[in-house]
Amino acid sequence: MSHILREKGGKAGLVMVLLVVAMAIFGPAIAMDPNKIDIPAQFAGPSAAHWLGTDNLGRDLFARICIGLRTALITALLVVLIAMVAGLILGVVAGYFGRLVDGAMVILFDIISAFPIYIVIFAIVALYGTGIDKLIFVMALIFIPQFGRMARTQTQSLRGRSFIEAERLLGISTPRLLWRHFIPNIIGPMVVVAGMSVPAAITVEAAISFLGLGVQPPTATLGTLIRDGYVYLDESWWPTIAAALVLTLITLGSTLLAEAARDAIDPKLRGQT
Amino acid sequence: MTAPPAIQVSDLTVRFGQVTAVDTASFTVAPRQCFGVVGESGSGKTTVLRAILGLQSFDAGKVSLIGTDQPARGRDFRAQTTLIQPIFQDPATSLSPRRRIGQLLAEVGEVLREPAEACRLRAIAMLDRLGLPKEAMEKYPYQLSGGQARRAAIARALLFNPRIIAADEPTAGLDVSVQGDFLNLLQEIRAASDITLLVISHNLAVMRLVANDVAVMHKGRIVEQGAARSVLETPQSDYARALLAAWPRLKARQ
Amino acid sequence: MSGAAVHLEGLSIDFLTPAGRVPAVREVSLHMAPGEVRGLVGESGSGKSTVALAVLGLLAPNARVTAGRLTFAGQSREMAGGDLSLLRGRDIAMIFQDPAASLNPVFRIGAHLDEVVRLQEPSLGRAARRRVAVEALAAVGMTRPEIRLDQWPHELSGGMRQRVVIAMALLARPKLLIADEPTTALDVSVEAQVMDQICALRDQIGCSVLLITHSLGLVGRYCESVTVMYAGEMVEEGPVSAVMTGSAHPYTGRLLDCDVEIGQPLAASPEAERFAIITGQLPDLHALTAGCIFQPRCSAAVAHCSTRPTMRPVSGASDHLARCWVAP
Repeated sequence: MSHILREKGGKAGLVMVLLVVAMAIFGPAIAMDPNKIDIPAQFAGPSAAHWLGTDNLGRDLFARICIGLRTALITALLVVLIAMVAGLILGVVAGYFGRLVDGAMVILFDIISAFPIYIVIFAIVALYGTGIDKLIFVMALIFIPQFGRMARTQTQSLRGRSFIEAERLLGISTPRLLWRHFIPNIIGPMVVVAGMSVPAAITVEAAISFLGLGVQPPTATLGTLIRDGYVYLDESWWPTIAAALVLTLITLGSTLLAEAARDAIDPKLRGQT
Repeated sequence: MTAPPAIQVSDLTVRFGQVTAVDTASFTVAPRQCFGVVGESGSGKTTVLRAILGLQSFDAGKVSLIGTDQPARGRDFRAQTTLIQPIFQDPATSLSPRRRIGQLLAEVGEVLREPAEACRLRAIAMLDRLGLPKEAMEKYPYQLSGGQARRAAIARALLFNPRIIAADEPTAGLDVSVQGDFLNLLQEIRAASDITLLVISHNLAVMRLVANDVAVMHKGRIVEQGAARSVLETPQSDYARALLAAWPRLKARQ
Repeated sequence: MSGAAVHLEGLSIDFLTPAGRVPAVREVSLHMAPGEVRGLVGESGSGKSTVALAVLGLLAPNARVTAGRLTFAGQSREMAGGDLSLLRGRDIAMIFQDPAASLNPVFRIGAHLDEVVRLQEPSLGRAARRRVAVEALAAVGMTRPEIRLDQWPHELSGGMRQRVVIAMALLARPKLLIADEPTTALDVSVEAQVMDQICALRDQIGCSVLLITHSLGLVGRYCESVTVMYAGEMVEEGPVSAVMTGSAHPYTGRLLDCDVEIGQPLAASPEAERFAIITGQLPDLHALTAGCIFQPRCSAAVAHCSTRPTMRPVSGASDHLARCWVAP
């Protein structure tokens, strides 16, 4: 952790992320009702009454963004977590058992990567209706190949290491070997990649909601806020920009943080003052 | 009734595709002896060790440990742990980096189906015997010095009370001032128990001193074998003679 | 073309680490006559490779040369803050332990040699350059040199790759050749050939050779003079015969005791063999105490050793020095 903070990028990233997370956690408590309509106050800029101004229906943007962040962050974290766990399991199995199993997994990853995800999303919405909760697993699919491939190559390189051979010679069972000795040595870089994937997941959710397939009004999410603002762009550019700014903040922040974490973990880059 | 040889290798052959890494190697190691397999890189000596341990499957020949034939592939490692234990080259890297020493030693108890507490006590006693403090149990391998980590790896091997210890290049990469420490430890272990030692090495000078018998390997074949003190003093085969002649000597620039 | 004298005076290097500033090399001096083959001997942490990298200007970014003067090939410059990269390649050549470090895997052997030839003789045409390269490979004892030019580094064995590197050094006609553990990664049978090749190079172009190694055997066999380093300091230097047989510094003596020789006397049985070690550990360079660097591990230390010794002549000899109060 101290290594991360040593980097300028790490410090900045951490601040940005903490700021956004604080907004998501505490914002709704201190802000006013995000759904309270107040037409006379529509399109207001930032002021004492409305910290980030108001949207086309006079709803407080600060409150809406905070709620939007909550939804976005929770969704993104869930998606990335599911993808990471699934990718980890598939990748480790592929990397360790090799040959046929590995071949099958690689093809599986390639299929998922090539798949037109949004077609699947449309199909699910058509069958089951809108709502981001129905789409979480599908969204996770988008991210599984990258975790899977990473876990696979890490596992392959660990397989030849002498401590793994030493453990195999103990007669330790394969599941135990994978759980105790492979996974702890792989999880570090995976978590860093997970951190870097969170902004992408937020963007995916924002895109889906922007298309009207995810979260429904009046519930706010970053995507819907950008869309709502977009419709009224002529009257006021502020609502769109406000939501987009926050999206940028969390994206930039987690990328910087994850990159600093990756550099901190990589021993070769350490010791370069 | 005489005791079976500790290790018996007959016509061992290992192929990697078109390349024959080990070509009909045969040797016998009597109990309590130290047997050296010496050679240069690519000689096949490491492959022989791996085949004996079961980390490498073999294509022909037989490997017997304490009179029991070992399968060419698919070894039961668990059953083998009390027969033969390895000491890898750079033993510190044979310790899983994200587990504490205590956890690694506890795995011995799991394999032997020993109660955890009994194993823990044995582990602490073994560490003590090797000059490591009790606090080492809580440390991660990277927190120990190179020498301490080597000893911790040996401690794990010894906890199995193996009949045979197979060491892969025990002095490679070690400074001259510390290699003696490791070698003295092996000698003490040898003196204090009935253990048989199999040592793979390219260091002719050390093998000449500590091995009872040696086999010299070149391109997969054993070109000469016999008592260490005669093979590595007055070798008969051309290759062994050339190898010995090339070994750097301190005195005399001829 | 004959070699040049090399005078390195008082080289000191600090490393900046997260834990603080570490004085990794302290006041190391090397004086080499033209054409001399000198060994620089030390174990891990002695700083021997760091000294060589400093001379070439190849130190890591967190290294700081705090003192030192290098006089070489008619030029004399302060090393602290100076730019030494100009000396590289033209007058100083280096052979590394791992020839892969010098040979780019995506270029053929011919391309590597061609690069050097072009720098040395810019006026030569392609065919002429190729001839020069073939001669260089033949000069280092490479079989079928014309074919080698078209091969890739990975097609050659370790020993052959080192020969290529030596050939490149030969073509560069340096005044000083630094060889850092050139044979450590090679088999013993190839080691002698490569070392002979390096000596032949010296004979041909008269360069001085600095052989950096941990192997006392190599030094004894191939070097004329030797400097022994311990934990960043020089502790002894002199002609090989003097240092190896009548070594003055206790560390050198212990090092020689620990060295296992192929012809050394045998114990009663293999089981009875025991090996010498140097007790203790390397000093922590973050917390250097005043006094002799080897004192904590030295069995011959006396009270006076708590004051750091200077390099003093051994038995009155002007060319054999040791940093020890107790040496003769």
